[in-house]
Amino acid sequence: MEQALTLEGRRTVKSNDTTWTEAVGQIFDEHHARLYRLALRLTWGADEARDLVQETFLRAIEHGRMPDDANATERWLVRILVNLCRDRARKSAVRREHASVVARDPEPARGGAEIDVAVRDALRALPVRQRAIVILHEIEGYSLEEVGALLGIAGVTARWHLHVARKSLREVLGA
Amino acid sequence: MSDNDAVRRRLRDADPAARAELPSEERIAMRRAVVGAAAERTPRQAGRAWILFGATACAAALVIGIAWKTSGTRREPVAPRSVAQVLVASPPEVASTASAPSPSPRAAVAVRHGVRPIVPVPAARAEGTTRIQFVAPEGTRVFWFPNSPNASEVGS
Repeated sequence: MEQALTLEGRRTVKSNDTTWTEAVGQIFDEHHARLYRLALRLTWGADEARDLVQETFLRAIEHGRMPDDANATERWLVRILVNLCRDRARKSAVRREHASVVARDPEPARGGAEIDVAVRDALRALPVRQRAIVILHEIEGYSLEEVGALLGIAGVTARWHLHVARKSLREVLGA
Repeated sequence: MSDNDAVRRRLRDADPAARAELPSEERIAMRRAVVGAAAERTPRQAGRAWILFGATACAAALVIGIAWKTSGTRREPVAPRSVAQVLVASPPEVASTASAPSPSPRAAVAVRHGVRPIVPVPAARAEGTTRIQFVAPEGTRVFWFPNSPNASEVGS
């Protein structure tokens, strides 16, 4: 099977079976840390973040090919991760609704300082897309256009979501 | 400092991933799982190609088989009938009816009018049967009067 993969925008890999797996390994090495941090910021739980990162790569592999350059690969992986997070949030909300069980707090991130519970709860109260926009823009420093490109939405839409999310956070945090 | 700056500062101070790293043993295990899944992915695609090829071949064989069977059971063409057969088989002459008056009395041609077929009228409803029962000390006798017009008249 011939499959074209471009890594870091520098070289193209014409893959047979071996180079395909090597390319996947290389993409994992390049993007796993960044995806893990984003997953941790979205979920505030180390276990859930690890699951999300692994499932993101598995979903990406299911497509059978990767985007052409590193930036496109990163955007694609971030979008998969955020969508997975949204799916999980939706499912857990339905589960909570039916089981009426208070969800156990996820395992806190290792190495972190004292958890700011108010910030965590305020962020977790936001819809996942708004949460992702707040994290990518306010914490990771992406511009709104870049956030829109990462999430596959227009920059104006990202700005509107950010506005709504900031308003909610100000109300909850009293800032 | 604006409200947005305050929120941003608070979010950054509380960032759970500021110093977080994926532990090396977990990273290695995850990498192995991902690469293993990628290795499994490739032969599965080849397998899918074979399945697709097989399905296409089966569909083609089915279509060819149906076409062959249909052509085998086709009726033999019937030879055209001769003129005599056609004459014999032609429908009997139907009596025509006058549709319009003749233009002149001389040109009048006798026209055989069609005869209305006699349709059997359904039989009249069978009249009732009268039953008269005589009860006496010697015994009981019953008389039946079929097709009697009216029981009251018979009995009167």
